[in-house]
Amino acid sequence: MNWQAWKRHAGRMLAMTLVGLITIPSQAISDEVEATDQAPAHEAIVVGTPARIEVFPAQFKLAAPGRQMHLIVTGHYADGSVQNLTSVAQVVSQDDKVAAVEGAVVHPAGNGATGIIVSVGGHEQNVSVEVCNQETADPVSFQYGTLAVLSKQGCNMGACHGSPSGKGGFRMSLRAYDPVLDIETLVREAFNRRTNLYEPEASLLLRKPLMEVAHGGGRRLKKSDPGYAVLRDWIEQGCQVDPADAPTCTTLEVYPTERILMRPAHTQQVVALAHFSDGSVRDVTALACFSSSDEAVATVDDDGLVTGLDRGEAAILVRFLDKIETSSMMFLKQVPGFHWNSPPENNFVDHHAFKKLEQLQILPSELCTDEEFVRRVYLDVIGILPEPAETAAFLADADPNKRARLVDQLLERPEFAQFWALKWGDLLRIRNAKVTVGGVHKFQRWLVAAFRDNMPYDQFARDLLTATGSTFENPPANYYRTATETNDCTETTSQLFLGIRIQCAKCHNHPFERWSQDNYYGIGAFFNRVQRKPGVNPEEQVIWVARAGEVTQPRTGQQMQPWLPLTGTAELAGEGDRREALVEWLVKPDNPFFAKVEVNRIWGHLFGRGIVEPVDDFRDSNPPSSASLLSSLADDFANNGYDRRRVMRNILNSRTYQLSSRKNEFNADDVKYFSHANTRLLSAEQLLDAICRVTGVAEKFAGLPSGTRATQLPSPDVDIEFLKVFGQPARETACACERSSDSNLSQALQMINGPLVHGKVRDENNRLRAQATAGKTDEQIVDELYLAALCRHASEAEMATATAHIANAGDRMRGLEDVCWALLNANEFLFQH
Amino acid sequence: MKRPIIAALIVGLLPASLAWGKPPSIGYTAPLGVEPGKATDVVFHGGDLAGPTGVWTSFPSTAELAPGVEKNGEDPAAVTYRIDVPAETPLGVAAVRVTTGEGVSNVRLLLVDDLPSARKAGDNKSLESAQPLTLPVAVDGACDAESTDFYKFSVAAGQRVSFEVFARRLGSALDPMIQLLTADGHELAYSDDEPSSGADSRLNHTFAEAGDFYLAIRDIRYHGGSHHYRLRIGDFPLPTVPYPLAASKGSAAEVQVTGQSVELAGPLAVSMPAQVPGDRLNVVAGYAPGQGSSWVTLLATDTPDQLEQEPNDTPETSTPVTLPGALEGRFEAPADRDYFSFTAAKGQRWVFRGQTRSLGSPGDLFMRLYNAEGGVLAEAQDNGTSEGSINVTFPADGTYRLAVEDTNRRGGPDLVYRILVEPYEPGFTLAAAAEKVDAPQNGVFVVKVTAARSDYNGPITLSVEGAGEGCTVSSNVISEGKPETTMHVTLGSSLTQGQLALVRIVGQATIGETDFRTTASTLDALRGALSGLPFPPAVLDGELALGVGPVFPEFFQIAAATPIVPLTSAGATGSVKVQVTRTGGFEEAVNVALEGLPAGVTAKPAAIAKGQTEVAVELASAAAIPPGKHPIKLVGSASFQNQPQRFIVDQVALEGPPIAIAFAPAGALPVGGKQAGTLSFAGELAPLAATATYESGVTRGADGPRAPELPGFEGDNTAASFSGIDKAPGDDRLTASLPLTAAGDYTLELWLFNARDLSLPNSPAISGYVFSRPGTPSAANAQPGEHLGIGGVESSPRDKLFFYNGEALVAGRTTLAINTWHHVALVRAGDQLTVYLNGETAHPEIQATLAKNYNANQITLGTRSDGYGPFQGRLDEVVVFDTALPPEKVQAHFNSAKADAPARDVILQDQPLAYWRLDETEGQVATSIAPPHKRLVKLAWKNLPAGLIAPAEVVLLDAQDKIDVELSAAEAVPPGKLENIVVAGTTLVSSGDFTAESPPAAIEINKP
Repeated sequence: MNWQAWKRHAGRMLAMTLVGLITIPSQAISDEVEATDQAPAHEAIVVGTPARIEVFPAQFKLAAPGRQMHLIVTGHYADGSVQNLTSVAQVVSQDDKVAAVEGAVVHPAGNGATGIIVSVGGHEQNVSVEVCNQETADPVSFQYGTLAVLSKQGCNMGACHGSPSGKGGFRMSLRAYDPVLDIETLVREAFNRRTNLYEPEASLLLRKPLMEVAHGGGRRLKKSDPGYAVLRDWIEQGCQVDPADAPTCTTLEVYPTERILMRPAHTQQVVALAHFSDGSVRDVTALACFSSSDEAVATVDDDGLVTGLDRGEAAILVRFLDKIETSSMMFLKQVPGFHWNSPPENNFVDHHAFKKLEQLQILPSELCTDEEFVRRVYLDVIGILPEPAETAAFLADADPNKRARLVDQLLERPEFAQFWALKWGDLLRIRNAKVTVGGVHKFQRWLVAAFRDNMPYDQFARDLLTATGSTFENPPANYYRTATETNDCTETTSQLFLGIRIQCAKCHNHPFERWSQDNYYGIGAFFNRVQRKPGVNPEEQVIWVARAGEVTQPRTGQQMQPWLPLTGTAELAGEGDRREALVEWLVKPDNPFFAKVEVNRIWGHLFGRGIVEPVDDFRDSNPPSSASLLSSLADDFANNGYDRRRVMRNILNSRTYQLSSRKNEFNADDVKYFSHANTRLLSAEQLLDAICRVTGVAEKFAGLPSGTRATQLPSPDVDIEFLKVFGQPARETACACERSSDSNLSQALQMINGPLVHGKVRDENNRLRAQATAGKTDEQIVDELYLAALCRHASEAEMATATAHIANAGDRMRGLEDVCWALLNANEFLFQH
Repeated sequence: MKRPIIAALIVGLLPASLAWGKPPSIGYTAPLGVEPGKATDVVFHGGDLAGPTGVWTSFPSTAELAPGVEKNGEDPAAVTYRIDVPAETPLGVAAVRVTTGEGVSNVRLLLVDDLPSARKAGDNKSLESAQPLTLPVAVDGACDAESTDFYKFSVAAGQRVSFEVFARRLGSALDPMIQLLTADGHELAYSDDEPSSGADSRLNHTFAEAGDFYLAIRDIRYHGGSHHYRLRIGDFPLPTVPYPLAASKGSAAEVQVTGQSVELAGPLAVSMPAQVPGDRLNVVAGYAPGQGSSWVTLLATDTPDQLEQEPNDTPETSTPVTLPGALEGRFEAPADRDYFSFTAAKGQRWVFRGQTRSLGSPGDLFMRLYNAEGGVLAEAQDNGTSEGSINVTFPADGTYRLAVEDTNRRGGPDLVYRILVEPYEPGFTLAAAAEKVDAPQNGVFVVKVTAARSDYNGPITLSVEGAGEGCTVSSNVISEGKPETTMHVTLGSSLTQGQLALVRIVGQATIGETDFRTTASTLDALRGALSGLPFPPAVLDGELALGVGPVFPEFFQIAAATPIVPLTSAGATGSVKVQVTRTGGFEEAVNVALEGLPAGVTAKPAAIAKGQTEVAVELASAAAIPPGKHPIKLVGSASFQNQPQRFIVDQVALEGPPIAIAFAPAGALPVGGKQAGTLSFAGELAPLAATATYESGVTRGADGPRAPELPGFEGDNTAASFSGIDKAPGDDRLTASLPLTAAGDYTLELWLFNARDLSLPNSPAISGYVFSRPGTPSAANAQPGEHLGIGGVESSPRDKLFFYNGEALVAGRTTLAINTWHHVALVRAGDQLTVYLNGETAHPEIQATLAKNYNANQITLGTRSDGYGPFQGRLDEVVVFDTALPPEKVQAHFNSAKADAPARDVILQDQPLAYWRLDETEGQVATSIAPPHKRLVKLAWKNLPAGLIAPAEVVLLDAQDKIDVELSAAEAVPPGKLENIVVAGTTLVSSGDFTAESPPAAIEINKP
C-alpha cells in the first residue's frame, strides 16, 4: 500500500473508530468497507490468438494438507505482447484423488503425483504436481499462519491494534514484527478471552472481526475467508507457538516480477511464493498483502489480481510478514492520433527520457524559448535572476551553442556554490541552535568551498561521514554535532546518502519497506562509537571515535553487528573507525543507492520533481518514473569521479531540461515523465532575491554584511517573516520535505500588500527611480522591468497597457510603481517555468 | 572618630552621593605590539584612565607618559605611555596593565614583536578600497560587525609570504578568518581556525606571479566591535610546536620546530636559563633579518624529559623509561601508537598527566596503561582544557606499558605530546575567581577561592602574599568538606594609593603528617578576562594584580537621639535610639553596638535595617551602677563594596542613680549587744536647698510685711496669699520636705496675716491651719502631729492661735487682729512646745508640755497636713530650724524686722534649714535662701531578723559621705551569719525623693 492509499485507509479506520465510540450500528459501516474494498470492475479479457501460453509454476509440490498453489497463465502473442489469461484458462486435474482444482488454484487431495492440464486460446500446457504428507497433520504455524492472517486482515496495522498503544485495550506488534509480544497478548491477556481453547468459535479473536461482538474496527473477517479457518484451527490446536527448529521463511518470490501490458491486456494475477529454510516452497498468495504504488495507474486486490487503469507504471508491493518484494507493472495503450515525432536527443538524458515517453505515448513539449531558458537556468543554477543586461546579451547572442556556454558560465559563478550550499545547508541542518553561530559560518563556508571547487561527491560524503576533531577546525565534523546521537546519525545518513527513510524501523520493522528493526540498529553500529566532547574554545565541540561500544537492539536485547543494506553484516573487529567501512561501501560505483540519490536530488532540484519523488524516499514501493534514466545518470556520475557539475551540465544541456512548460494534447496529463517543464513557485530565497533584483533594492539581513542575498544565507536564523511564509525550512530535519512548497494565503498577502514588497516598490533608490533619474522614458523603464522580472521584452500590448497606465496615473512614479508591483505579482514572475 | 551627635548636623556634612572613582579598564592597546630595542608609544584605550600612575608589563620595560600627547593622563578614555623595551626581550605574547589612583586595570595581551606596526585605516571594507601595505608589516585593527577588512600588497614572482593573525591568542573576541585573494576576488588560500593557534588563522603562500594581491580578514561570524587583531605579514616560519616540548633549566638543548612553512636548516640551539618566568621560554625562529620572526614556546623543567625512541609502535618495541618523570613523543604518521615500558612496585600510586594543547600541540591524547600481560589497567583522554590523566595504583611489582596515540589517530610532525608522571599525593588545587583586585588604601579586597580536592576533605587555610606589611585576612578557611570561601584581605599599611602589587593566595593544610601548600591558580579568571582564551600565558598564572585606590570614603554616620540613658537601679532597663545617615549609594544595614558599658550592664546587638533609619538599642542593668554619668561609645559598623567601616559616637552616657548607699558593719554583732557600722554614700551628696511647693490656689505678690512698718524688710516685700476656701485637699497650701529628723527639736518662724472675717456668715469652725507637721496616724489618734491654727466660729478659740496634736488643743490668748502682720514662732524643745507671737518671748502665746508625736519631715503651710482647715490670709518669711531656738533668738528675729537693717541676715546667721521669702511671682517652687548644709537619709533595712535594731535615719552634714551607725541585737536574735542585709536609703535629690539600695552586706551575729 503506498502512502496515499495508507492515508486513505488509516483515515477510514480512524473514522470507523470514532463512529464506533458513539455506537452507530457498525454494520452499516462495514457494508461501506465491503463496497469500497471491492476490486474495480474490469473489462472482459479478449483471448485472441496467443502464439503460445506459459503456466507458472511449471511444476510444484504440495507437501502438507491444506497447501495450495495459484497457477498463472500467460499468453504470449506474435507482436511480443503478453496477456494474463489465468482467469479465462481451463484448468483440469488429471487425477482428482491426488489434486483438485478450483479456478486456477490447485489443492491437494491425496498423496501421489499427477498433471494439471491448462488450456486456453488453443494451447495446452501440462503442469506436474506432487502431493505428499497428506496423512501427517500440519498444525497451523503461529508465525506463518496466524500472524500472517492477522497481518493480511489488517488487524495489526498502525491505525488498528498495531499502533503503539493498541486499540480497545488490545495491542499487537505492528505488522507482526514482534511475535513474542503477540503470543502474549493473543493468548494470555484479557483473561484468555481472546482465544478460547475449549470453544474456539467463541474466541474474541474471531467473534470481534466477524462483528458477532461489537468491534470498533468493523467487520474484518468472513467465515468464508481462508484466514478464518487458519485462526480457528490455530486456537483449536491449542494456540501453539512454532517450535524452535521450525523452518523459517528465507525469501519471498513474486511472480511475475515485471510485466508490460498493452491494452486490451490490463490485468495480471500476481502470486507470492514463500521459500523456507527446509527448501519447501509455499504459495502464500492468500496470506500476503498487496498494494499498488500508484492507484491511479493500477489497483491490486487482496487476492493479488492487478488491474491497470491508465497509462503508466506502478509497483505492486507484496508483503508476507517481514518479507517484501515488488512486481513492476507497466500499462500501455494506443493513444489516438499519437505520433512520435522523434525529437532530437542532446545527450543520453534525452535518450532515456524520450524512450519512456515514446513507450507511454506521451509527446514532449517544444523546446523553450531563449527567454524562458535564460530565466530558468539562472534560477536553477545560481538561484537568482539575470540582470537585464545579462538577459539582453544572451538574447542577442546568435551563437547556436549559447545555451551550453551559459550553462558552463553559470556553473563557474560564485553564486552557484552559494546557492547549492544553501540547499545542502538545509539537509545538513546548519543553524545556530545546532552548531553555534561560528559553527554555522564555518560549516557553510566549507559547503560553499566544496561546491566552488567541485569536490567529488564521494569525497564530500567521506569528509562528512568520517569527520573527527574540532567542529571549528574541521567543519564537516558538524555533521555529528547536528546528529547528536547514534539514531540520528543512522536516520540522517540513511536519508541523505541512501535515500532511505528508515526512521520507522527504530521502533518496529518498517511497515512498507524491507527495512527491519535489526537493520536500523545494524546501521547504527557504524555510528555508535562516535562521541562528542567539549573543545578548548567556548562553544567548540570535538568529535571523536571511541575504541569500543556496541549497539543493543532494544526489543531483542541483542548486540548488533554493523549491517549494510543488500550486503548484510559487516565483520569489523578491532578498535578502528567503523564509519570508514561504511563509506567504502557507500562510495563504490556499484552502490545501488549512493549515486542515484544524489543525481535524483539534483534532478529534483532542476525539474521540481525527482525521478524518484520525494527525492529522498527510495523504496520498492516508490519506484522511479524512469529507472533507466536514473541508472544512466547514476552510472555516469559514479564512473566520472562523482562530478556533480558534470551531472548538472548533462541535465541542463539536455533537451528534456529545456522543454517548454507549455503542454500539448499528448502530455497534458503527465506529471512524472518530464515531458514538459514543471511550473513551480520560486523558493523563498529565490523569490526574495528576485524581488530585490527587479526592484534593485537589496534586503539587509541582521548579522550579515550588506549585499548578502537570501540565497547566500548561511542559516535561517535571520528570522525574516517573508522567507518563512514562502517555505524556508527551519532546518530541523534532514528531510528535503521540510522545505514547504505549499501555497497559502499568507504568501498572497505578502506579495499583494506585504511590507517587504511595498517597501521595495516604493523605495527612493529603487531601479525604476534610478532609471527615471537617468532620464529613461516610460517605455525604456517598463522594458527594463520586464527584462529584470521576466527575462523578456514587454509585448506591444503589455507595453501599451503599461504606458497608458503610467500616463493616466497622474503621478509618473506612482504609475511606474504600479507596473512594477503588477509584474511582481504576475505568475510569470512568481513561478519557475 | 568624633562626630557631632545631632543628626541634622550630620546630614549637612555628608553629600547625598559620592562620586567614587572606578579602577581603570583597558579595552585594547594600539599598537598591539612593541618592538624590542625601541620605545613605542602605546595608547591604552579604555575607561577611567585619567590620573594614571604607571604601566605594568610582564616583561622588563620602562614606561613614562608619552610626551607631546595633548592632555595625556587627563583623558579617561585613553592614555599614552612610551614603553621602552630592552633589545634582549624575547618575542611573544606579553601582558600589560595600567594603574591609576583608583586601582589597576584588567590585563591585556600584546605582542613583543619584531615587525613594524601599522594601523588599519578604517575605510578598507571592500576589495576596491583595500588598504595598501608594504611588507613586512604587522597591522593592528579591529573588525567591525558585518564587514570584512581588505589589505592590498605587491609581491614578486616566487615570493614567499606568511600571514598570521593574533587575535584569540591576545584575548580578543575576534574569531578570525583570512582569505588570500587575487584582484578579481579569486581565493588563493584560506585559513580559519588553524590547529594549535587557538582558533586564530595563519597561512603561507608562495606567489607564482608578481602583482597585487589582497588579504581579507573578518570575524567568521561577522561579529565586530572590540574584535581586535594584529595581522603579521612577512617572510617567517609558521611553527606550531618545538620538539621536544621541554628543556631542563640551565641546560643547552636542541629543538626541532614544526608547522607550516618551517623551512629551517636544522634544529635550533637553545640555551635554557636557570630561571625562566612562568617556566616558559619562547624560542625565536626566522628566515632573514627584517622579515619578521616567529616563535614557539618551550617548557622549562627541573629534570630532562625522556623521549620516545621509534620504532616503539608495539609492546615489544616499547621505549623503556624510568618513572616518575616526564615522557615526550610525537605521532609521526596517522595511527601511530607509541609504547613506553617502565617498572613500578605494588601499591605505588602515580598520576599520568597528558600535556598537548597547553604546550601548543594540536594533539588530542588517548592513553592506555597495560600490565605485563597486556591487560588494560586504565585509559584516559583529554576533554576541553583537561588534557587527560590516569591515576593508577599498581597492583603488583612488575613491568607496565603505557600506550599513547592521538584520539582520532591523526599523525604529523606537530602532533607532539608530553606526559608528566608523578607520585600521587592527596591534596587540592585552588583557583582564585579574579585575575585582578582593587582595594582602597588600608581597605579590603575580597576574592573567592575554590578548591578542587583529591582525597583530602579537611579545612584549608588561605593566606596572602604581597598585600603589604601587616595585611590581615578573614574568612580565609575553606571549611571541611566545603569547596570554597570568599576571603577578605585587608591591605597592609605599606601599600599606598596608586601602587600595584602582585598578590598570591596560598592554601595550606596538614595532610597526614605533610604540610601541603599550593598557590591558587588564576587561569580560569584570566580566561574570563581574555574572552575565553583557553591557555593564557603561563607567566600570569597565580598572580593577582592588586591596585590600591584612595582611602574608602565615609558612607554612613550615626547619631544618638537619646544621648543620656538613666539606669538608676539594679534591673533597670533603657534604650538608646540611634539614627543613621547613609550616603554614596549605600543602602544596606548598619550594625549598632555599645562599647564601654559599666559592669553589669548589657546591650542587645541591634541593626538599622536596609530601608530604615533608626533603631533602639536595648540596655539592661543587672546590678546597680555607680551614681553619676558613665560615658559609653556608640559604634556603628557596616560594609559597603566589601569595605567595612565603623562610626563611633562617644557623647552618649548611661546615668547611674543620684545617690548610692553601702553598708559595712565594723564587726560581728554580739547578741544582746551593739556594733557599729559605716554607711557610705556616693553621688549627689551636696545638701539641697529646701524647696517648698506652691500647691494650686496659692496666689503670689500680695503685700508682705514691709517697710516702713517693718523696716527690716524691703518696702515692696511680697507674700503668698491663701484663699481659705475649702477646696480639694492639698490645694491652696505650701508643702515642703526638710531634713528634719523624726523626733528632733525644731523651730518654725513665720509672718502671718489673717484675713478671715469670722463675722461673715458661714464662717468655718476653724478659721484655718497655718502650719502642720504630721505624725503616724493610729487608732487612738487620727491626726497626730503638730498643727498650728487659728480658731474659728465653733469650739475653738475664735481668731486666736491654737496648737493641736490630734489629742489635745492648746489655745492662745491673743485675738489676732484681722489684716495685720503678726510674727509667729513655734519652738519644740523636747516635750516643751512654745508658740511666741510678735516676739513676746516673755509671755509665750502658747506654752505646753506635750510629748512629740510627729515623725514626718514634711511640713504643710496653709492647711493641716491632711488638707483640712484652709487658712485665709497671707504668710511670709517662713523659716525652719532643726533646733529649738531660745527665746532671745526669737526675740531677736522679731526685732530684726523692726530694725532698719535687713532682717534676714540676722535670721540666716542662725543657720536655718530653710528660709522661704515667698517672693516668687510665678512657678510652683519656693526657694529657700538659707544655705543648705544637711541631708536627711531615711533608712529602710531589709532582711533584718526580729530583734536586730538599726537606725531609721541619718543626717549628713554638708557633703558628708560616711556616717557611722549603730546596730543592736536583742537577746532573742539567733547567732549566725546574715548574708543579705540591704539598706535602702531615701533622700531628697534634685528630682525629688530617691531611694538607693545598698549592695547586700553580711553581718555576723555571735554570742558575746
